[in-house]
Amino acid sequence: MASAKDTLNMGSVISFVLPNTTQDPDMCNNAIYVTDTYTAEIGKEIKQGERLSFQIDNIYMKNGAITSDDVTGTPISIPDSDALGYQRQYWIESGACTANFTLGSDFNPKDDHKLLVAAFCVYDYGWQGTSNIVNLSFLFYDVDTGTITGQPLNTQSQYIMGVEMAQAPPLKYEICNTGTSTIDTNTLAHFYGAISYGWGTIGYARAIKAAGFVLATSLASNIPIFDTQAHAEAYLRDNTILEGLLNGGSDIDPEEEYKSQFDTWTIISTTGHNTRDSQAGGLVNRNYRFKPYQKGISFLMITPTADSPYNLRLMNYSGYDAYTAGRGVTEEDEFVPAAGVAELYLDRSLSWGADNYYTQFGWKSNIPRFKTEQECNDYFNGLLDISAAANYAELARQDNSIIQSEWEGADIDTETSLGTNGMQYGHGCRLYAMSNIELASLFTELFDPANINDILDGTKLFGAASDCVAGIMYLPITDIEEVGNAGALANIKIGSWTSENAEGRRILNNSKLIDCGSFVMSPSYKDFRDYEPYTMLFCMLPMVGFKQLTLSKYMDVDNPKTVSVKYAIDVTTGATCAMLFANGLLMDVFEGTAGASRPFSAIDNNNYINQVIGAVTGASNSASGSIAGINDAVAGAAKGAKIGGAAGVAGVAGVAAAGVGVAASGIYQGYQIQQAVDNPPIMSRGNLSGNLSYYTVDKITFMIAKKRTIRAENELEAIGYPSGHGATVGSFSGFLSCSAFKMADGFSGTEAERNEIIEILKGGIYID
Amino acid sequence: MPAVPIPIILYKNTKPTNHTSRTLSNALQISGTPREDIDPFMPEITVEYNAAILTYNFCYIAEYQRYYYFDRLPTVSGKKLILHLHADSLYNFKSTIMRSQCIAERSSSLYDLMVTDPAVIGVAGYEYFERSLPYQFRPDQGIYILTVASGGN
Repeated sequence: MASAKDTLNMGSVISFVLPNTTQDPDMCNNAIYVTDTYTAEIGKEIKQGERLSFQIDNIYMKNGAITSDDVTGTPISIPDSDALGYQRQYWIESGACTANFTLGSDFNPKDDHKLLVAAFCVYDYGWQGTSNIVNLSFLFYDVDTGTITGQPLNTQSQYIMGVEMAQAPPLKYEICNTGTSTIDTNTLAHFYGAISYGWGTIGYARAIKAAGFVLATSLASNIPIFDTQAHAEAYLRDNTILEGLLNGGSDIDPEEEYKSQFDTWTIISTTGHNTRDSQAGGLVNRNYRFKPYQKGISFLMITPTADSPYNLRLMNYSGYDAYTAGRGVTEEDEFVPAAGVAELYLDRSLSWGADNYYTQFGWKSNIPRFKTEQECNDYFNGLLDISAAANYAELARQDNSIIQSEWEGADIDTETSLGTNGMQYGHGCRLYAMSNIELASLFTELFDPANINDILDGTKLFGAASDCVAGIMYLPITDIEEVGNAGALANIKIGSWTSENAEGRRILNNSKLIDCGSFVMSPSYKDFRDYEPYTMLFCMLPMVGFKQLTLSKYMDVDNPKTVSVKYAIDVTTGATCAMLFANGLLMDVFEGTAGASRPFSAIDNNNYINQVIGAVTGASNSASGSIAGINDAVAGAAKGAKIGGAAGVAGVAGVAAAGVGVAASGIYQGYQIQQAVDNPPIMSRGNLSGNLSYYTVDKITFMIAKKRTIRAENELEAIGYPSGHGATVGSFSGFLSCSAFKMADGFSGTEAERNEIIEILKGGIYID
Repeated sequence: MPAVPIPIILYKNTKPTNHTSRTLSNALQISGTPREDIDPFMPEITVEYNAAILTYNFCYIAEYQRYYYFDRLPTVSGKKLILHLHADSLYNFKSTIMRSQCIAERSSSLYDLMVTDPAVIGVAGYEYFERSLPYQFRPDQGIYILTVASGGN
């Protein structure tokens, strides 16, 4: 089989509309049809692998049954029979002509709300043999039930592909002849064509007899296109099986961030089955069954231009990974015919036969649309802002729009920049890290009578030896290297006196943070209950205290965050701060005191007490306060710290219950009352400071408080979940209650009926 | 001018009226006379008594081009039955409704789990869970920091 890969050019994505049995001008009764017109050499036999190209000039849609009289052009002569015994066979006689087909009585959409999906199959047929014919199989996707029903057209049917003949060839379809050119002798109507609806399916024309031709259309898409249904199905079952892939698929490597932006749907065939058309006596018709995929997919489109008004390309963001069910792409903008091209589309007001109307080729999409492929690629690569999209104004108005805010994109921080402490300890001030034994050794030397004169001599500049000692502080860490750099053990130098035996490690700087570790904050419910007030987050920070955290800083239901904590400890003051990060971004900073002073003098002791009391209560005592007064203050501070609290949880705004299937409002009120009396989890006041803090937690401990809830298992089916989505009623399934409803044009009921409909929808309906 | 009899097709419908589809069976064509001056939105149709009619709950009246559900059981009046009908607005205008725009308050298909759901019931109390980070401060094995004034480096 000749590869069609090279011949698939960038083509068009055609939208489709809802067929309707009523003569509703707002809804096209049938699909978009494309006629072909081309000139072919009479009698030219199309060999295997060959293809014919032709131009399709326009697209229109027809409301109602289309007859062969509807389209101008030279009709193809339809003989009763030919030398080969075919009763109806179409071929080109001379010059440009139009193949006209009419949807016959067997074209019978059963319900109002169906989408017409047309595809046709590639078959290996034997010429004048017993092989099968290609048929245009019209398939309907019922948006209400999500099912596909096939309406294969039998040989009695006639089909029209409506394209207004014009000068410019905006569309070009080309289909490879993938097999032998054969025709079932029983076939009465032979028509080969491909209609792609951007769902990744395409059929291939089969060459017919020498007097016939291949209806060639070309389609470009990075939606995978396979040569046979079997290969398509194999791929859909296993995305690694690419046998029969014709178009190479996606050539765009999208950024990860774009992959979930859009909510479009595309249908791809998952399974198909062959059915026998007994009427045709062995004719095999394939009914494609389509199944919507749930995973999101992103698309861009290239808008029509004056040069190629229908040359659109649907670019697939996510390659082969996922395709979701789609209802095509429609745009309701006015389309201006290209200059020099007469009637590229026909206005709705133009009548085409009695009671039939043309429907404007419309587009409406939340897919960003750009004018050129280059713009598309630039947008993909982050070089072009979405505001450059041709339909940006419409995107901006849509709910859940994909407008890129200034807080998104490549400029936002992914990590908080932290400073570094560059202070060095040296001239005039030394810090030593010492163990208890080393400290004892120092004081033994200090208070040795034999050393007093040397000590006084070495410290007389400061008045007293005690004045040389700025402080002795205890830190709850085992190694000074956790918070800074230190030298090796060395004798202690106080003033100009140096100890003989006592040693300590000289602290050089205080430049390090303590990395306390991290964990992933995972949601429990993956819904609103993972946030306040149903879930609350607290943190017990050593030397700082209990802190309540804003949960949304650390919780992302869809992308769990890594929560980490770092401590900075000032070795000169003992002050500490705990820094809480989420995904590397600093979220909270809490201060406390890690160091516990070991008083060295009376003044030092008084200062220390002030420090502790101040940290706990915010009060302080004077330097001359009595011991009793100090003790009372400390005791009072301890009593003042409360465990528990009375702050109620904010009530949840209830939705007024109404209509069928919605819970009674009493339940909502009861829940709110319950929330109001429930005590929130632990609260604490003040900070844990110094020595006092050593009696509490020694590890950073996070506490989650989860409200117990009951969510009925059948809630989704019975009354749905809260929505807020805006769409047509038919876009929903199952239960639907509306907060707003706008009746479409064409409502023929009374005001009373309209009002009743509104009330019914507010109360809730089941779409089935 | 007295009301004239009009054809009515009775059905047995098994689908609730708040569903968009109807399951109609046992079609029975009868003739009935609408009461005068009654709004065709909720007409009352007088028909000949037939016990079988009492088993029906749905009908189509071509005169009004509408489907109706029985608002209540037919009442007997002599040898007549009076059908109390209510236009099935949802079914009659289903296609227009389906292509009408709406904003969903609750939905089984398009919803947002992050929107607070008042239908979720809260149970008294909270559950508490703790998780500690690996780093441990050691107030039992700490170090002393001696800060002194000292000459030289």
